[in-house]
Amino acid sequence: MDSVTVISDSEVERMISAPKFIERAIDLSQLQLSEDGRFRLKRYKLECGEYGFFVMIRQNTDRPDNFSIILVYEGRGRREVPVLRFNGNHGRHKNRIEGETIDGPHIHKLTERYQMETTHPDGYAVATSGYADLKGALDAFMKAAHIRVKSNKHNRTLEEFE
Amino acid sequence: MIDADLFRKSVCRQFDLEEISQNEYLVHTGKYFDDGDELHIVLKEDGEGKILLTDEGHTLMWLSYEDFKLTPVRKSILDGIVSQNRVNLDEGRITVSAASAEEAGEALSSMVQAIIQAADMRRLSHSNVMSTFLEDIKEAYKKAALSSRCEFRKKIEVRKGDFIEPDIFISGDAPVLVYGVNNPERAKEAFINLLFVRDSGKNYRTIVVIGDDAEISKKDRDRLINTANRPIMGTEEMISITERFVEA
Repeated sequence: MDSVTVISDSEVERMISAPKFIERAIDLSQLQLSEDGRFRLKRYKLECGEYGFFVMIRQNTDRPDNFSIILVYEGRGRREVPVLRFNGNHGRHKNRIEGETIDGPHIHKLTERYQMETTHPDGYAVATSGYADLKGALDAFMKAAHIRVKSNKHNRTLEEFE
Repeated sequence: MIDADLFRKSVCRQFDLEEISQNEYLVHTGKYFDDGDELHIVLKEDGEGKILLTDEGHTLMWLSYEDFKLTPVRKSILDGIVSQNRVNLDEGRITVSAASAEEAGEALSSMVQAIIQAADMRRLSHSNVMSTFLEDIKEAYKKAALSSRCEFRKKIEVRKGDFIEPDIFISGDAPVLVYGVNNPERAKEAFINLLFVRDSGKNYRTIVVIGDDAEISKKDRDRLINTANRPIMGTEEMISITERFVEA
């Protein structure tokens, strides 16, 4: 894939469902404060056979419910492509193509259509009631993105035996 | 016949206030960032009886979404945006005050304008500039006389399990591998590739093209220059130098 290749929806699903490992459990108290003090941010490298990924977490300090947890694919030429993004409650979201609006927490996903028809590849989002704060969102995100802590690498899930 | 009243209503319908705590409102403007998320603007009192509109630092946080750093150039652009829209930048927050609710409409317009302009700095981000740089190089080689000999992002195994991936591979008796470099990450990646090539024992020759405005350290620049067979500074004469080098 080069910097102008569109990533298909089926490839996005493969990316999300690929097993990923992180060196150690994410400690949200370790997020680093930005220079201006307005948000906390940290990146975590993931291990994944086929793909290069990292997770980025950021949280607003004025309003902690305003946060994002993002699964980012590192493409060629250091191109960074957001694949999955769990947003907190920062206000409203609008799916530009469909014209529908969402209030409250929502999940962005990279789609073929938004890559081709808009300027933001993960501009499509769906509402969620699966979490209300950053900790809850992180738990849901780890599960959705198939991320496990590396020390558990050899512990296979029931699904993997099927 | 234009129904001006309906038009006014249609425009006004986009604006709304959502109470989020006592005397604090989320302002819905119907204006969105590129990703479809609404501009984040909170309306509250500033403690001195004035009305305060603040983005609570959301705009600069939104920009951090990609590999965005507030470099001196971008900071000066941001200062210009703040100044021309008569808003303030206070510890990462874009804010504007209004003496009364009656004057708040104008303040809100300034705020919206400032946030949208600030968000547009995303287009100056490292990744985008890098992508453009590599794309530009690729396009130049595609148009060159030696284009039929060029392959792009070819993956080559130089040793068991070790791969290199030049931006352009030019075939020949002694193939030429071209690497474009425009930022520190890419400088490191290209340098590792150059070392692999040097130690591979194969008859590859290497070119590194360092962008005119590459933001890389002297150390990175020096080691690229010292390791590549032919360093090229800037893209202006890149093709003619490459053609001479290939035929040498």
